[in-house]
This record gives sequence, structure tokens and C-alpha cells, in this order.
Amino acid sequence: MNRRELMKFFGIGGAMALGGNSAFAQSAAADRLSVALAVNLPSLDPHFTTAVVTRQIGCHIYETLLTYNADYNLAPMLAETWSTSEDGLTTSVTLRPGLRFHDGSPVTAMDAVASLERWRGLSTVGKSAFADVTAITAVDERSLTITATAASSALLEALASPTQAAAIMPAAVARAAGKNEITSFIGTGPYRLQSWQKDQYVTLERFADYVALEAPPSGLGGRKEALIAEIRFDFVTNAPSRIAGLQSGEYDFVDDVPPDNFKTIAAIPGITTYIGKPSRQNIMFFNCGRGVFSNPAIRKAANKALDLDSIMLASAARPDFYRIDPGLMFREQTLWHSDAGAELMNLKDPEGAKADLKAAGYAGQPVVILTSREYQYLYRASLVIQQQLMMIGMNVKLEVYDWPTLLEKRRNASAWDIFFTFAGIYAHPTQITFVDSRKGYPGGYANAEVDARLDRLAATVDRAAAAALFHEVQALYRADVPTVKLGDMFALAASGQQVKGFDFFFDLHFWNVSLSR
Amino acid sequence: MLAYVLKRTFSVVPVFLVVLLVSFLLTHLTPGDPARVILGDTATEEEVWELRDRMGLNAPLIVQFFRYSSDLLQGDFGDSVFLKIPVTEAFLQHLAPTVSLTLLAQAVAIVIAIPFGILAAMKRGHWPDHLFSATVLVGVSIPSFWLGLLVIRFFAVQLGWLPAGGYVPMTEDPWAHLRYMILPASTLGFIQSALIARMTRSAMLEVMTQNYIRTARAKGTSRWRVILIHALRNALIPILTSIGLSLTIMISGSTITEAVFNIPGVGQLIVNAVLRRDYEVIQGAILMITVIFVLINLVVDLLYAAINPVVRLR
Repeated sequence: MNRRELMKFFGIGGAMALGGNSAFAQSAAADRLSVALAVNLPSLDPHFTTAVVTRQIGCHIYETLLTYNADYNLAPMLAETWSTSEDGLTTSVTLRPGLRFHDGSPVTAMDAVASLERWRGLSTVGKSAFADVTAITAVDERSLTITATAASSALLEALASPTQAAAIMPAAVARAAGKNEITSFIGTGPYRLQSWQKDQYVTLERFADYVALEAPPSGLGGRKEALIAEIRFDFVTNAPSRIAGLQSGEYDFVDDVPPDNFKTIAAIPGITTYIGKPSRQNIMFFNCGRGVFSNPAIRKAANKALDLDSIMLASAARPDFYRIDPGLMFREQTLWHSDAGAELMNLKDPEGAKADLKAAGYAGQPVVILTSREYQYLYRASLVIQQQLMMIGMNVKLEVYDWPTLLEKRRNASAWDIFFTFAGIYAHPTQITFVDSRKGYPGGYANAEVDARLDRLAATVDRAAAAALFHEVQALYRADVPTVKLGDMFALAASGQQVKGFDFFFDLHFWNVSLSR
Repeated sequence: MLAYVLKRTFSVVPVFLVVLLVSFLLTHLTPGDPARVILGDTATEEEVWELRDRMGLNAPLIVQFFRYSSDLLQGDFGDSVFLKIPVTEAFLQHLAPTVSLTLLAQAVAIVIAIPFGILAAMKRGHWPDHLFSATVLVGVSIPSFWLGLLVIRFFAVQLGWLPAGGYVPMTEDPWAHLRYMILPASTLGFIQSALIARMTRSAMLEVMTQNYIRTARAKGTSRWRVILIHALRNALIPILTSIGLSLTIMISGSTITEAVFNIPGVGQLIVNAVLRRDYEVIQGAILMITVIFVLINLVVDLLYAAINPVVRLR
């Protein structure tokens, strides 16, 4: 019995449910938001890890100089103003006046410099965007300059990236930690860390001295207000337990509800559902460096066979939780999104694929798919893809591992032919990890023309010109078929009706959210 | 008696050595690496390598093993990479919920199992016995996650009597602690009771056919006195074995029940440690569980000797 059947069996969220009207809803603290997250928190160091859950909690504690508004354009956060010199080599940033850290100390340009120095040494985004940066200097208490040997459009975008964010922390904390994880978690955000019981929960409390922006909220930018005094994040890895907790009133908000449950949950009175769009794209990686798929013709033949709709339906369980889209960047990121390569995907032509495969010289060599049950949506996709490739005569073997083993296995180029992963939202094309061959992502894809265009893109400050270059990058990349983008998959979260004003952008965040019990 | 205790105690040393070696090799030879897990999926190979170096994971395996063993001899189980605390401390923290859950569940199990086991034995072949057999079959076969979700569904979601999951330490609020424990302990206890009840029934049946029972009845001792005083005491050894067995199973972490009810116990500690390759925690927890296993077995053995003097002589 799989999880979906199980949930149906229990009727979790079914007609008999009483919703959040149990004794516990009333007993919940009036001014505390209780959130159930799906994953354990490995680290609260924003510079250190790319883990999603670190961002989900960290964004309440930490802030960056710049951020993104609802249109995915740069917006100020700690910075009041910023500018780039005519030649593009010098970037100046001035901090807003009166900012305070959670320990009460003022935020100075020196803190920003120390934080950026640490971040650029740890963060993947920072390393590439700041590769040509020679100096980060504090000019006075509130302003700093970043000097580089080459102009880069990636620099400001990297400062705003929510993943492995260029969070500003006190200089003393940043220097003391260096390349190790920080041990004191002092930021500037509307909430500050109250307690962290490892593997159980994190509680945040309102930061009374927070200085909010005047501008109306938009995306991750604008005015942020801690309307709720305390937020508690519980780590509840078992999805049915999260849902039962929401219904019994233990949790006000639960993340990562399997879309299979959408219909039943949406039907419960007193429960509000949120569809996170965009959220992530599911990607199938070919091993371009070694084995069967080092032959591009075989990759293309396999791609021709795939019916992405049935694959994504298996992943997302419902047609309204996915879309087929060729974009390396999401459709909502209007500047960067491109339809290049759309004609090369979702071809659903097994007969043609069979002929192409024969012509390409495929002679029944084994194809190893690495997969993992930890991400059910990837696992289900891998089963359907195995079927579709077997239909065209490929000799496909599924190897199922736990996720850390899979990550390790895929480092060994001779151990696999296909694996699956998902990518979240990249703020800027230069942050995509798997297109640029020099980033060394597993799969061994390399195209000098793609790399050259990415370099030009990074050096192009004019956004329209950069977008045109990125369009070319995507066209070249899609034509090579190093990966198959299976589709965009949307996220599902749910809350009790007492939660007001939640807005899904990039991920969860609970400033400007209120409770009415 | 002392010689018996000493003999039993020293026989566990080789067990520890084997467990140490096997747990070390299993954790280190399994693919996957903590540095990759800490840094996240999109970190580059270079960054992972750098962190591995700082964590001492790039040293040859044999060097790592001797480093670990010599630390161990000094009582140092190492630090958890993720929890940032010594493994001993992490283990003890997670042991508290597990011990509480185990004891409560065991109490539930015994309260259900022994009376019903005796009753079934007494009414052998009649309807209480058939009902008993059917219930035991359900208890043995029912998966704990299913039963867990079922009780959450009923008692937490529909009736709203008890929390759906979570944990409050006893030191913080004993009453809340108990409220959070009732559902998981009953779930686990019900399942464990099936095993003990079956053992009780068969042990009682065996004893009841003995001559001394007939003698006791013949000399006019009341039926219930014979059952509870004469028969039960002699049936206790297999019952104790099954209780000891279920204790050891539960104390090493009722992983699934803990996951369903979100209780931060030993099972969760180990599963999390395995998923993120927290080597020190996996090894340390396995070793400490071995100690507990051995201790429980030792206590059960000594109890045998106390109940039945014949055991001592063997």
C-alpha cells in the first residue's frame, strides 16, 4: 500500500474531518505561529549551506543588502542605494541609517565587508560572481565599495540571492567563524533566534528594534513586519503526521503537503491551501561524459521517446501541479525566461525514437538509472521513464539508493547513465550550476560555445542584452540534450484559517503574516 | 552466584569488539558523505573536498579507525557533526524520550498481555481463547505506522482528546509529557502485548498439565490460587524472556512509532544520523545500544537465576 492509498484509506482530510476545531486549536498560544517543516535543519549558517530549510528559517533572521521584489527585479533591503560605475568595475552600496543587529549593535559597513568576505569564500554563488573582485572596502560607517577587474552583471544579483544568501552578520561573528560554521546567529531580520533544539524545533521571536522599509511589501522586498510575536518551526518528516497535526490544530501551517492529498485537504472547512508557483523544476541528467549517452544521437533518441505529461503526472499526481516548460529559468522570471528548445521536448514518438536509436548504433548496452525513494516525485518519474525507455528497446536497470548514497554514486562517472534531481529558483542565469561546464556538475556536459556566451552574459550589465545572450545559451543547451527538463513542479502548503496574509514567493516566509484565533 | 555474574559479564567483551569494527566499517564503507549533506546538493566538488579535509575524512580508513578507537578507550565517542554536541550527550538526550516511551509501552503491554494470556489458557478451546487468538494475530500483523496513524486519526483529529504528535520532556511538564506519550505508548504497547500474551498463554498451558498442579488442586487449593501462585511463577521464565526481548527492541528506538508521532528518540537519532552520514553518532549509538542490549540480557539472565535456582548450577 503506498502513501496515497494509505491516506485515502484513513480519509485523512476526508469528509469526516473536524478540521482545526479540536481542543488543541483553542489551547494553542494566541501569539505564536506553529509551523511544521518537512526536513530537519542541518545548519543555520546562511553562508554555509545551500539547504532549502536553512533558507526557509534563515530568511526571518538574516537579511541581505539587496533582494528580489515580486517581479524578480532587484530591490533594496539593508541597502538604501546602490550604483555601479560607468566602466562597471566599481559597485557602491550605502546602508540604510539606524539599522541594528539582534544583539543591539549598529550595522556598519565594516560588518557588511566582513560578511561579504566570508560569504564569497563559502558560497557557490558568491565564488563565481565575485571571482574578479579584488577588494571590498568600507568607505565610511554606512558605505562600501566593491572593486573588480571586470564588469559583471552577476555581482548585484548574487548579493540578492536567497540561496546561500550574502547575509550580513556582525563582523566579529563572521571573522571568528571563518570557513567553519558560525555558532552565534545574529542577524538583522524581523525575527531573531530564541532557541534551537536540534532535530526538533527552532523558535524565533519578534525583534523589537527592527527597522522596516517604508515601501509596500513585494516579493521578498519592501516593508516587513513581525505581526506574530513568536514562530515555532517543528521538523516533522512524516507527511501524514504533518497533515494530522494541521487538522488537530497542533500546527497552524504545514509545508510540503503531497499534492496527492490536495483534493481532500482543500475540501476540509477551515483549511487553506497554498500552491507555490514556481517552486522547482525536475530534471533528468544524462551522463554525457561516459557510457551510452556520451553519444548525443542516443541522448536525442531517448529524449524523443519521452512523454513528459505522463512522467510529470506520475510525479505531481495532479495535472494542476506541473507544467511542461523548456525554460532554464522560470516563466515567472519574465526577463530571463526563454522558450528556446520547446520544439525539442515532449515529443512522445517511441517509433521514431526506436529508429533513431538503431541509426545511432545503440546495441543493447545497459543503462543504469540512479534513483531514490526519498524524493517520491523523482522516484515515480524514474519508474515511468524506465518503462518508456524500455519500450524503445533500451536495456534499463533501476538502482535505488538513499539520497546521500545517490549523491556519492553520481560523482563516479562510470557508475551511472541517468539520474534525477530538482532545481529551485535561480535568481540569475549565472547561478545555474549545471550549464556552465567549469562548475563541474555531475554529467560532464561541456560546450565551449555555451561557456563563452555565459562569460559574455556575466560581463554584460545591460539586462536586455544579457537576456538575449541567455536565450542563445538555452537554445544551444537544449539542442545538445545533456538533460531533459521534465517539467516545473509546484509546491503545496496548507494552513488553518487563523493564518492570514501568507504569500508564497520563492519559499515560505512569515513576516506580514498574522493570526486570528 | 558471583561467579555466574562475572562469567556472564566478561563474555560480552568480544561482542563489543565485533560491534565496534562492524559499525565502523559499515558507516565508512557505505557511499555518501557528511560534507556533501552539510553543504547541500548544489555545492561543488571542490567545496565538499575542502570540508572533508577539515573533518578529517580524507585520511586513510585505517588511520581513522585507530583514531576513533583510541578516543573511544578514553571514553570519547566524538562529536556529532550536525548536532555540534558530544555523541554521548546527544544519545542521552534522545534516550530520555525512548526510555519513557518504552517503559510506558511495556506497562501497557504487560497489563494487557498477562491477564489475557492467562484467561485464554484457562478457557482453552472456548470463545475467549478464540477471540484472544484472533486479537493476537491482529496485534502481531498490524504495522505500527498504520496503527499509529489510525489512533491519531481517531483520538487526535476527530475527538481532539490528545495531541497528534510531538514531545514535551517530563522535567518541563510531567502532565503534558504523559498526554503526549499516551497515544504512542498505547500503539507500541498493544503491538508488543501480542507477543507477550501468546507466550503467556502457551507457557501457562504447558505448566497447567504438570503433576504438581494436579496435586495442588487435589489437596484443595483454590483454582485461582493455583493459577496465580503455583502455575504463573513457573511459567514466568519464557514470559520474562519475551518481555526482555520486547524491551530490547523498543529501547533501541521504536523508529517507526517515533517517526509517526514525531518523538525525538533514539530511533529518530539513528535514522537522521544515517541519512546525513553523521558517522560518530551512528557508531556511538550502535555501541551504546549494544551496551543496553547486553545489560538487559544480563538482568534477564540474573532474574532467571533468581526465579529458578536450577539455572545457577548450569
